[in-house]
Amino acid sequence: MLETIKWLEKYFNQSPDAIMIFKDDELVLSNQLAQLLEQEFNLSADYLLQIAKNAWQQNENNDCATCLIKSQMKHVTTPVSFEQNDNKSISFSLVYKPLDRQENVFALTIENRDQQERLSNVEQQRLLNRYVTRAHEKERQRISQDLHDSIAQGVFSAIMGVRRISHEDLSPDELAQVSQAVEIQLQATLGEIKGMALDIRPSVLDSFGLIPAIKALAKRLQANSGVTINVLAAAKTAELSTDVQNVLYRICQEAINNALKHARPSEINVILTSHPHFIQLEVMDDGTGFDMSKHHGFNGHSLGLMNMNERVEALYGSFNISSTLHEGTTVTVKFPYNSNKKGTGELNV
Amino acid sequence: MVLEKAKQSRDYQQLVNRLFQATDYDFVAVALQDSFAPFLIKWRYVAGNQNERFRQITLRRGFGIAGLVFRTGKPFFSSELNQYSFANEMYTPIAAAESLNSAIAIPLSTSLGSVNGVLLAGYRTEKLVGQAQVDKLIQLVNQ
Repeated sequence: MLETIKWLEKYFNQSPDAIMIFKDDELVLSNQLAQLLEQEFNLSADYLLQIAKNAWQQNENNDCATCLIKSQMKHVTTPVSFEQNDNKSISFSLVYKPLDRQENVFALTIENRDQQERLSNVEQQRLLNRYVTRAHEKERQRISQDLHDSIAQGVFSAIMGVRRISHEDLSPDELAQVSQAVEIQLQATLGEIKGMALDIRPSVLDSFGLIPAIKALAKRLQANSGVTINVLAAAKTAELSTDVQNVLYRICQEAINNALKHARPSEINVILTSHPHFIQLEVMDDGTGFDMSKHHGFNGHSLGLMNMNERVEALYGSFNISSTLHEGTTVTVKFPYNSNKKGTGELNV
Repeated sequence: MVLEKAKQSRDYQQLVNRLFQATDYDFVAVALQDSFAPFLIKWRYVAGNQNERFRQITLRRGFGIAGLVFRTGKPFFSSELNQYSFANEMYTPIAAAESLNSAIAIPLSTSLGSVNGVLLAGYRTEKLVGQAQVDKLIQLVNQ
């Protein structure tokens, strides 16, 4: 029995969280980490106790008496952050756990939130990786299907036409008709090939820049969808790096496609403007919109948005999406013009 | 040549108007394929339209019910056009532009027999369409 207590004590002392146990608001037991924290940050146990009690009272007194979530919460957690000597603050979670209500014994645990955040970041990254891999595979599947369904089909029809011309005994009228049919077929196929090339990688973007590329994209999607897509571009894009231009183009493409797929809009507006210190892209639709609160966090729907966000942030930009049910959605992307401060020469935004 | 063209366009507009008046369809339209490269297919004559968005549409062979008529030369119909999302090959742009729920599309052929146009008639309401409506419409067109 004594041995067991020794082990428990050892474990208690080596816990990655600082633990303090109180009886009647008096500190009776604390592990090594808690003592270290007290010294390091010049904290008093009373002070922490006050914070925890405040949070506890708030939790007790608020109006959600019948709150389902609250009834499932066994302890109260409050975020706290301590300032270090060099003005860096570290975030912790302060957890209040009653141990014995009759004896009025409870524990305060200080959990390192950095660690938790890092863990959830790792998890996010994993999900995102999986999403991107899957999206790549889907894209290939779509290209393969397009090649098979429309290109191969078109070429096959043309071959059949040519075969008729060479093997059958056709009157001049019929000959003219069949050869025109073949021409039309090949023209349509050519159109499809050009469309696919544009989907995969717009050559306009490389040769003429961002704005003509977005305009060409909008024109094509408008012709294919029956939805009006206006492009209002009043920005200087020549100084933007290719990376930023690529991301702006892709976001534009993804946002328009999302709107067409999910929102049933009648009009989409793409607005590209430059400001003294940043360039801004907005894609607005007047479609069904969605409830932002329901799509927050990680579910299948928001991974596409998360991926856009990652791509923008990787180039020091900011990404925002706002939507109201039945009132449409707006995607906003901003990139700084002069980010020399960041010091990475290759970016040259 | 020019006179002939004018006559043809008047004929198509008259056909569209006649069908729109003689039936209870909310929208009737004809798409024709250009006779010159790159042989674009566009909606040229409409009746009952809500807006001018039909002018922006370029039909793709094999996509949407009208595009399928171009590829196959056979009539097509659907009563759930509003179900198809943009990624679906049955997505019909004209249905999105004119908020059609159901529509039928029949081929228009040249005197030599190749398909160079499509006639589409549709409802904005929940009305169902089927082979009977297709037969009826073909009969009306040939009158």
